[in-house]
Amino acid sequence: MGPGALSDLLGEMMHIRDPRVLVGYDTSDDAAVLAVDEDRCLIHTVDFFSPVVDDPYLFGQIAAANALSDVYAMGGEPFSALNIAALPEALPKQAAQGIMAGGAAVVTEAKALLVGGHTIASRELFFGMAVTGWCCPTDLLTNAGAQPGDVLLLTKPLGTGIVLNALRGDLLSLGDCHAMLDSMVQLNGLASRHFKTPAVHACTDITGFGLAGHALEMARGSGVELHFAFEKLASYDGSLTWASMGLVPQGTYANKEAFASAVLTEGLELCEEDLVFDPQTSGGLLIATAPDSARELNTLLKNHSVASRIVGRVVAGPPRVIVSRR
Amino acid sequence: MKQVDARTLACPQPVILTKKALETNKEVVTLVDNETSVQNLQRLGRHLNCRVDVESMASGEFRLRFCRMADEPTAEHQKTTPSLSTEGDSPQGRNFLIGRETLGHGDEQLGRILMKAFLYALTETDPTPNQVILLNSGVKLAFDPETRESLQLLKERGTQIAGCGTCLDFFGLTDGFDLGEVTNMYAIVEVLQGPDTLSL
Repeated sequence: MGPGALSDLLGEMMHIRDPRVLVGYDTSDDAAVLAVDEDRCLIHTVDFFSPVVDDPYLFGQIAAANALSDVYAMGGEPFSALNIAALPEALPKQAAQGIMAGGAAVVTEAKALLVGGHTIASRELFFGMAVTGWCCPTDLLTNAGAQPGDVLLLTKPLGTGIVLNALRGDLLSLGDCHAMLDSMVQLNGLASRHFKTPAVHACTDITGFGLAGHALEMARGSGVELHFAFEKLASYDGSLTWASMGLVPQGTYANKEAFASAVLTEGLELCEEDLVFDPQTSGGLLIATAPDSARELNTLLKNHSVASRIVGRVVAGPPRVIVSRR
Repeated sequence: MKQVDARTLACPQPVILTKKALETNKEVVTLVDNETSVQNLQRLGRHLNCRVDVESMASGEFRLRFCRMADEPTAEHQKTTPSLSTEGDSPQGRNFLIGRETLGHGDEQLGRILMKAFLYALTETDPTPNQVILLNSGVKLAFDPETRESLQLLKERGTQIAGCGTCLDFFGLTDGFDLGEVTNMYAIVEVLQGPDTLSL
């Protein structure tokens, strides 16, 4: 659902106040976090969507990696997961099994337990997971802790929305974009296990609202201004070309409408702007970290097969995002 | 004139069908029923160097008329579909596909010198090349300080520089390529099939 429509719908529900709720609706964070006792907090998140690729097992993997990501973005470890599936009656049994198997494999890789789920018959196919994770209250990472002077790291390239659209239009095959698909299956836990508070101040994962929307949520949550250098941002092969050909997903336009007033792009071409607002499926982590440890963390992540890049910095200023060329 | 009825079709089908129709027709009319499709079709029009006229109809639907431009974009084209490039209304230059780090056959050392001279001369030509695509060992030109300087200059003058992703990967240069977009074979084929492309 689009960002504007969502906050309209939630309305008053967004203002629940309870000391047990550490992270709720109000900062538009990745997951809900509840205090259990002094040593533990629970992280709850749920995510599902219609197929992004025409390969059941791969779709299951991507959906699971995407659902688990929110737990990692909060600094937590996933503990258990439940499947959520809506399956058309005409869907071949093998395809349904493929989706479930792909999802289960990724949960296992995350060392979490897949312990059940809920499936309904539906005209449209959906698959995803509800994930429960946990962390120590002191390890909790929100999108609200970025500080002026921080350096911004992004752990995956951008452009899944555009490239998946080109894939949907049969302009390329799954084999042509295997690098992107591998990256979408890659768990963000591969990155998050290497950093922690207090050196890292804030973290969020880049999903449906695009880099623009999730960075803005961080800017608003933290009360800072985020600066990105477009030339430092990585994009998946072909995404800029496909965007300039008009393979821009509907979500990009929705994101522009919702966020463009507080996300300024300076000197960017239209296709580059499209990339900044492109909705991501199983996107990377955006990390705000203390400047003295940023380079070291970036190298550490790269050494562990994470496509991390230093992409920007945090400055004192109004809560907004600026993307300029360099 | 070919008509494409893309009403009720979801993204990206209107773009795919129109693109296909424009491969064999100079003029195409596409009907769509949502704003997203209109904006995406306008991007397609610019990409394929077409004039695009948009008409919104009382029914809430849109009628887009595409007309493939022969060579140079006309003033009218500029007005209806603002160019992506910041160059404004300068005539469109050629596309160059550079598949090697040397120019000509024979002595390799001479070939390197010639390539440097060629790229330098290219920065002084008018119109500025539209696109320079680097392929195979040609991607190394983006890293040699002397040829890089010329490519950088071309880029500043509005030429799109692109490097073949497979080739950059092969030479382990993907991370450092910052002169432009990393492209793929589909985009390269597209450019090669278009007018005004020279392979070196």
